[in-house]
Amino acid sequence: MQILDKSMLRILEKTPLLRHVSMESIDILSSYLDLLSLKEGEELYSWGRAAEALYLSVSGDFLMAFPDGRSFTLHGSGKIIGMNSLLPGKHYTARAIALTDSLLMALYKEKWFRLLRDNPLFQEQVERSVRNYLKARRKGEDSTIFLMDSDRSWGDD
Amino acid sequence: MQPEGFSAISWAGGWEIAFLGFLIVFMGLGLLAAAISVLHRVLDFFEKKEQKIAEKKQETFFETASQEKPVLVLAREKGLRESYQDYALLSEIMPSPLSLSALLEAASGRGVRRCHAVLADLLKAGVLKADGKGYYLWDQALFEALMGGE
Repeated sequence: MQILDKSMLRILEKTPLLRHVSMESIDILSSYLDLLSLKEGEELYSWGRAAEALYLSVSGDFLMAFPDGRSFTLHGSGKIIGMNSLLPGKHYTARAIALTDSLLMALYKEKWFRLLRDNPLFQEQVERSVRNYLKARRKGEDSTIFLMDSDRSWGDD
Repeated sequence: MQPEGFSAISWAGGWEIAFLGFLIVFMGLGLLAAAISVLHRVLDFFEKKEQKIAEKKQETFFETASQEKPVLVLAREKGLRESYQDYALLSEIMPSPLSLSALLEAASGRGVRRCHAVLADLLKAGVLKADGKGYYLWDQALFEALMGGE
């Protein structure tokens, strides 16, 4: 079990993806998360690889590069990376590189499904939250995620 | 003798009462139908309000590139000034708007020191600006100003 500090819990609490999730459920979620640190220049994942984890940044800067040359960057805490991992059978469509030394919270797919299976209440809340988040993304309400790696407009999933 | 049947209804004002009852029930149903038909709008309104409040809170909490001061932090580090100049040169050579991944690859291929961190610095300072289509523009004037008139 991974122990997250208060600032990390605060990041979880504030992330748009978990907007409709109660504090109790966030506590439960935190016990399923792993911490991952990356060195400057280290690759988190590459396009085409099976999407096995969802990441939430605690600190650092990231470059999300697509095979066609387009890209976007994410800076600081609370940024979601690898949304495709929430969908079954998906692959990453971008390459994620840490531009600076970074710290991430990682939710691996098998833990994610175990979490949903073990906590029906959480499943209900988080599904609603994910639906709203994806809806907001489709509407383009969040300017930083219009180029997110699960965006189908970017082609190969 | 008391009237019977329809006459009794008329005598006791039954038609008026029945009509009033009919009117009250249908007005009630009409109002209920109207309320149900606009319920989703009311709920949407409250949901959006809630979202806006959450977004405002989030804006103040999360660090964003735009909120940071335009300063090239690593340019002060010994030997890294050259890395910034290399990026400036590459941005001139490469087709604009720039592909960030291609720019990084070119910098890495040329052995630019700490090319990843310097790129992050250029992005956070606003020297490299997103064009909204997945590519980036180099702001030479800002770069020169931040590098001290070079």
